[in-house]
Amino acid sequence: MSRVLSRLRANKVAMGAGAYLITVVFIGVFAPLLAPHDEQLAARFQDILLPPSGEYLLGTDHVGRDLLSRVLFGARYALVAGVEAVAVALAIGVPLGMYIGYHRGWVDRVVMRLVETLASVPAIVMAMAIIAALGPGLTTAMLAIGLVFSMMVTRLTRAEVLAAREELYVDGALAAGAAERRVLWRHILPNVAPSLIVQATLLFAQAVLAEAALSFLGIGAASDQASWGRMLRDAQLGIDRTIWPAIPPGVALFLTVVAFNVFGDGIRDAFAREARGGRLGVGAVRPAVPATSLAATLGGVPAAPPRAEGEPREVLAVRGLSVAFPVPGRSEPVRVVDGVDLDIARGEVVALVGESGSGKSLTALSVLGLVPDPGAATAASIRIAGRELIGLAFDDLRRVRGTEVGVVFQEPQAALDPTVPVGRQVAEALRVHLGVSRQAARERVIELFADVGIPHPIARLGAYPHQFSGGMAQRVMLALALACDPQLLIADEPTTALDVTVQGQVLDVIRELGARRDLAVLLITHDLGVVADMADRVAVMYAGQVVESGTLDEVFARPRHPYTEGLIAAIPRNQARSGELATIPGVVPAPWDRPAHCHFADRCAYAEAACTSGPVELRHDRAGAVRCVRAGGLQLVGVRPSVRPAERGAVAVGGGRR
Amino acid sequence: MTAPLLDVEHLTVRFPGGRGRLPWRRQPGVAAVQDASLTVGAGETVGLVGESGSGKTTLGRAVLRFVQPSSGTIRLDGVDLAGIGRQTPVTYRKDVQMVFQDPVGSLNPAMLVGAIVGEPVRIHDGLTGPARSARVAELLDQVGLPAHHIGRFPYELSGGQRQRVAIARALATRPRLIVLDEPVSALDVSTQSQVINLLEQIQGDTGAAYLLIAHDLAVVRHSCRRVVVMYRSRVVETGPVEAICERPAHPYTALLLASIPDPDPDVQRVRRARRRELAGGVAGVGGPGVGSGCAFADRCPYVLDVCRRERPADTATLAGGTVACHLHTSGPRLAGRPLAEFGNPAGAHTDSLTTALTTTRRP
Repeated sequence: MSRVLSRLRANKVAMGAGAYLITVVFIGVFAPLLAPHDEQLAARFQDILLPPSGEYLLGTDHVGRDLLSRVLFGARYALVAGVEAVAVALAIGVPLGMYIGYHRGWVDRVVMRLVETLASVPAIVMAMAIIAALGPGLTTAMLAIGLVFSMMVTRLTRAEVLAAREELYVDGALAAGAAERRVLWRHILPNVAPSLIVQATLLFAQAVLAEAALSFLGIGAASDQASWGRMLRDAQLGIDRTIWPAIPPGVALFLTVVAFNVFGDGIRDAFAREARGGRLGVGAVRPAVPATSLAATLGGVPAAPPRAEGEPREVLAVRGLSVAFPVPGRSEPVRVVDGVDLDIARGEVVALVGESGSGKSLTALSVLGLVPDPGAATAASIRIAGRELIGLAFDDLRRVRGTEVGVVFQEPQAALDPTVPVGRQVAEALRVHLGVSRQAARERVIELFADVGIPHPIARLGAYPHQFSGGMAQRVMLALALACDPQLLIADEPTTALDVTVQGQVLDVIRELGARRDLAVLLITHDLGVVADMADRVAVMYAGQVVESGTLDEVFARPRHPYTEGLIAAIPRNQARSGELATIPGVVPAPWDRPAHCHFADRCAYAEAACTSGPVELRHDRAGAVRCVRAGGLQLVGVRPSVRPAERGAVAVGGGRR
Repeated sequence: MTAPLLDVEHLTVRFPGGRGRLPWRRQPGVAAVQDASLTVGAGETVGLVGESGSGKTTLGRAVLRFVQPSSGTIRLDGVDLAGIGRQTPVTYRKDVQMVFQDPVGSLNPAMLVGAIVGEPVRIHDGLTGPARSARVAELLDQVGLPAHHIGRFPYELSGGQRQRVAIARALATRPRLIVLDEPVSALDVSTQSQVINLLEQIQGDTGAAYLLIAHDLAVVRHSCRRVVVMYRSRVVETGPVEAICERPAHPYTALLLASIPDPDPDVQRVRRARRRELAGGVAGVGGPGVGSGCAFADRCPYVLDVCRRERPADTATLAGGTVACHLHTSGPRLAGRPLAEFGNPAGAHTDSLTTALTTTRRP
């Protein structure tokens, strides 16, 4: 709630409207004290239709009453009218909508047909009919308007409750034994309230307008009540002599209605917490300022073992990649990814492993220049297929991204356009990036579909994404990713959303196509089993940093970082139970809570004084790289617990791992 | 032998179809669970395994009475749930609790942790004020959360902490059965093992029985004694967990086991080869497979003619469970013996299933 208020406070326009509305309320309440003249009595009967003057600041009306006083009193009638109508609308609409939304069934169907019928009659006409039955008067009129509005509130409440009804926390409350009334009022209502508050504010504006309209027609406020609508009606009587008396109430009405609408929009924006952020930005990756690059901060340690310049097999080479996000309440952006180096050669699968928050997905997105909105990526160098991306113009970056890199995401159904047949989606990519003809594109798509193992490719061209199962949709994504014959394939948790028996098939396709096309594959996953199934080399990430890298067999069989050991030990494997699962105590620190020293030290069973004395660098050697002050001195257990520690130690030392 | 705590017999749950072209005529519904039976004894953990769409979650929700069975019976302590009326009595809610997969969605975002955990305390124990707070703090302590979390909102907690809150809420009524619907699959690896251990420790302390619904047989193997495997709304195999994981009798169970990737690259190479042998067809192709035959026939490498015609009946396995597969009554007539005794579908591979699935380098 406080976050909603602070967001609302930041919205200057809405706050202006709110301030105006508070003034209107103030005027309405204290109108008798503020008004210079009585709202009813003409000061002097002969002073009719006077222009503004010192005594009558806004002039007088056709019977000599002071317009300023009447406009001030009008605020009172507008507010009373609005409160009455909205209160009636909420009192009827909310309980009714909650009941039918929660219970559905025949009551819901009958009520909804009634609501639809009533809603098809214009509100004013409805109100006139009710007034005809109950007699004129401001209160009757507003009850009538409120009744019409209650139909809208019923519909909105029902729709919101229908959605909230399916939320798991409702099941949770039911399982806890909460009675229906408690579920409705304690669990569902607070979660549908935001929409209702917004709707109520907007209805207030409509109620004020409706009151004015009815009063103008003479069936709302009585002739002795200074409502703005009534004033407009009075102004009409002298319209042949001057239009002036219509202007003050008109302006007051206009401003009030606009203010309510603006304020309502402001509240809605404040409640829509996900409206901003989470969007992929299109900013290019900026070159790292030398002072902030990893190599510089660590005192000139080479970021990676030197490689022959211009080596043709290298497809992706990343040096010193960092991603930082602004965090509220902090002057400096917080580094979420911190100095990552990455190399992938042709025909090689490199897995980036880590838990959520490790920065593995952000690393992959940054390589593409797709950093989520407020974030900023910097790197000393990102080379794809020999081309330096740093400093590349946006259009050039897009071209590289489109032709040299293919991407597969976790949720294939979310990544495909649901309204376009899949064949056309892939063909479009071909036509945009390669400029081939429609016919050539079609043939190429059929070929691609066959490559990724979609049965009956020709028949499936016209199918929509929802007609594919998860595994088939992921194959379509793969076809799309490989359409322009890229050299690099980035697969971000490609099988996490799939069933385990389907996962293997999709991994098979990636592995076989990767080998056949000599692709460099960057595989991002949290599943060590998937890594073991796919990868040639592994980089383990923790809290934004690579903590260990090397060949798959080295890292998994003989881990050198305690975090890698902990990860391997923590997963239940398909083996006979042997006691409790090993755990890593604690949780991954939030990016702004990471210590300056080893990020893992607080959770590490092997931590000693040296671990908390300062930043730990990633040390490279022939076997890979490790970021641990105790590396080499520790004897850690990998995926084969039967390998005896002594034996492992011997291998570690004898294998030249120092 | 005493009656099991939970006894589900021939349960079928059918969801009504949408309206047809004529508004009063409904399209045929979808059966999410068909003819499924299982039991959970007091203090026991039973695993319910299957892929998405297998009906495992629906079965769990039927036990919680969130969905109405179309036929079949669910008994708790011998009492048929059909007989307790439309409104679920509070005593049943006290006995049976649930922990959901999604620790974000299952906690009301508008409520504080103290109110979420305190709700069942208030409903079932009638505690209010300081007594209630004390009980909430005790429950949070039981799941390893410090008491100051009472004043936090769910969004302020990590995934693992939220799942602990959900467990504390379930424990509040001192239930005898907790349905755990994928309790760890949304969590990170290191958090996942913490929660699995916590659940086991709680079971040791409270004696609650668990129905553990999961897609990951490895997790189930770690935590359960008995396991029930579902495929497309039907139970295909049941039995003791070690027998099922070492010597499965149903081809689908064998495929499921071979599909779990192992972090040991050498084991995984063998397992991958085994998975390819067992994957007869491409998943998600062909009809829905719910005609008259076996639902797995389209994907089964061992498929016989009879599999496409007739639904297989349950056969007792040597391990003490059941299997619904024609291989046990027709063709090779395995009669409850492990599938491995039939050999490999491809015929060429000589590895027995057992070695393929359990290759470890134990000295």
